[in-house]
Formats: sequence, C-alpha cells, structure tokens
Amino acid sequence: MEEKLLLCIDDTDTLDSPGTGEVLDTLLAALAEEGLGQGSFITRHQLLVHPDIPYTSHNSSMCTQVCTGDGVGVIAFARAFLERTWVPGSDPGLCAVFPERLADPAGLLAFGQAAKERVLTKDDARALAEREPEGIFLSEHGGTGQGIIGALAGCGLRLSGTDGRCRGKLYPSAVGESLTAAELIARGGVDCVADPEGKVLPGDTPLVFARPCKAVFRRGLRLAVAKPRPDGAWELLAKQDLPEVFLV
Amino acid sequence: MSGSFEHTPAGRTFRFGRHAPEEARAAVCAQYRRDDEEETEDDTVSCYNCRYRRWTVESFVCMRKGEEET
Repeated sequence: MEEKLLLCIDDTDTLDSPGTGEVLDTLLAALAEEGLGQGSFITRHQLLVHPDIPYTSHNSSMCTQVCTGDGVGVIAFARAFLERTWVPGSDPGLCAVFPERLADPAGLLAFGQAAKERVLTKDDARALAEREPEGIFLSEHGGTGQGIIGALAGCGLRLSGTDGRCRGKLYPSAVGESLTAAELIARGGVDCVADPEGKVLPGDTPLVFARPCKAVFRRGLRLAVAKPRPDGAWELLAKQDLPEVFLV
Repeated sequence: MSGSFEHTPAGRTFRFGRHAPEEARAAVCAQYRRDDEEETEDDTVSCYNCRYRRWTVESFVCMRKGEEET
C-alpha cells in the first residue's frame, strides 16, 4: 500500500560543499533509481536567524514528499545516503514523517512554527519525536547532529501547507512570452497563479512571462504570483519582486 | 579590513545591513562565489549573493578565507 512520507534534511552543508537543496535533489534521484519511491517538489522553509543558532549561511531546511510502498526502506536508504555523503564540519539531520500516522498533527505544526520564532534544542526535537513513535523518525548523521531541529521543523512547516517557497524556477519559452494562467499550469511546476494578496486568478487570465519566476507554497499548492499591468495582463513575479510575506 | 566591514562578536560584519544593494555590490571581493540559486537575492554579483555570506539578524558576516580584496 502506498503512503505519503515527508522527508526533510537540514545542516548537511558547509561553506564549500553543495547546498542542502542540492543534496535533497540527489537523494531523491537516488531513491527513484532504486525504485523506492517518487519524490514531489521540494520546499524551502526559512527558520529563525539568531546568533545562538549555528547555521552555515541562511538557516533554512529543505523538505519533500515521497509516495512509496516501502517507507521503512526509504528511511533506511536516506539515512545511509546522508552517512555516506557527510561533509566534515556539517551537522546533518534527517526527519521522516508519516502524516497519516501522527497522533497529534498539531504538535508537529506547532514545532514548525516555533522554529521560526525562537531557538529550539535537540532535546525539544527528540521530545516531540518520542511522543510520535509511529509517525516521526529523527536521525543525526554527523557532527553535532544539530540538523534534526531544522529537519523536524521543516516537516511541520511542509505539513502546514502554507510556508516557504518551491525549489527551482519557472522559465518562459521566450522573454516576454504571453500565455494564460491555465497554459502555465498545464506546463507543470505550478498549481495555480495568484495576485500579490494570494487570491487565485482565473485560468483565462492573460499573463506576461518576462523573467524566470519563483513559486511559493500556499494551501498545499505551488503558487506563482503575478501583479496587474496597465494593459490588463498580469506579470509573473521573479523571486526578488515577491511581496515580503511570501519570503519569510 | 575594507570600509564595508567591521569586527563584531559575530565576526567580519557588513556595516550597511540587509537592505543596501549598492554597497553590497561594491564590497564584492576576489573570493566571491555565487551561492545556491535558492539563497540568492537576485541576479547581481553582490555580497548578498555570495556563498560566504552568513546572514545575521541585522546584516551578514563574511565567512571568506583570508584578507584578499579586489
């Protein structure tokens, strides 16, 4: 029977090693090649920036969802992968969550939100995992293992459906391309198009695709954001043009 | 140390904070290395987009090795 499994990693990198997003990309590719499951889009979740938190550069964790008939196998494979690819100086943590098996999903959601607001500890993370022996699987994979905090938080934020942004960019076929919202969605990579307030635009909305744009994660969907133009069309926004509320 | 940075308890800290794009572009040095696309602010060559940039609450700390500058 296929299940959904959230997988999140954090603190896998150092200043000179591949970023955590790239590590998760590689892990997903390896999982697929092994026939263990198919990963979906990756979301990036910004956590608290604080002098007491020893992040490498930006304190964010990367999360994905895997559909698999062998959750145990996926977790074992991911753990072995992180052990094998550990970079000296990094403090990797892995969190796997079976959302359907959680006794108290609100606890995980609260942990995710707390990680954006205050400093949490490994003990905080372990305590939550111990309360959810069927649903949450935490593991440390080198160094201090501090990454389990961000990894658990990332799962909570992904589960919330409304946090962070999606890894990667959407590219136009040509600079300044014109297309409708429905046509953009049909290409894949985004589930809907919304205005800067988050209101979903109809499928026949004319869009102008001037620059590569970034999708954000809202209500469980990949959302591209567009702003209105004087000519009645809507311009898709690049990351640097997104309202601040979509970047925290 | 260049005029763009100062010593703080956190390390070599950018003086101008997180919202000074011109100053961040002007402070780029020979060790500049572009960060992962997920972590860059925009498409410019800027300290804000450097792999050695470590964000703090108010600014960032430069984590580059050595003191070489352009």
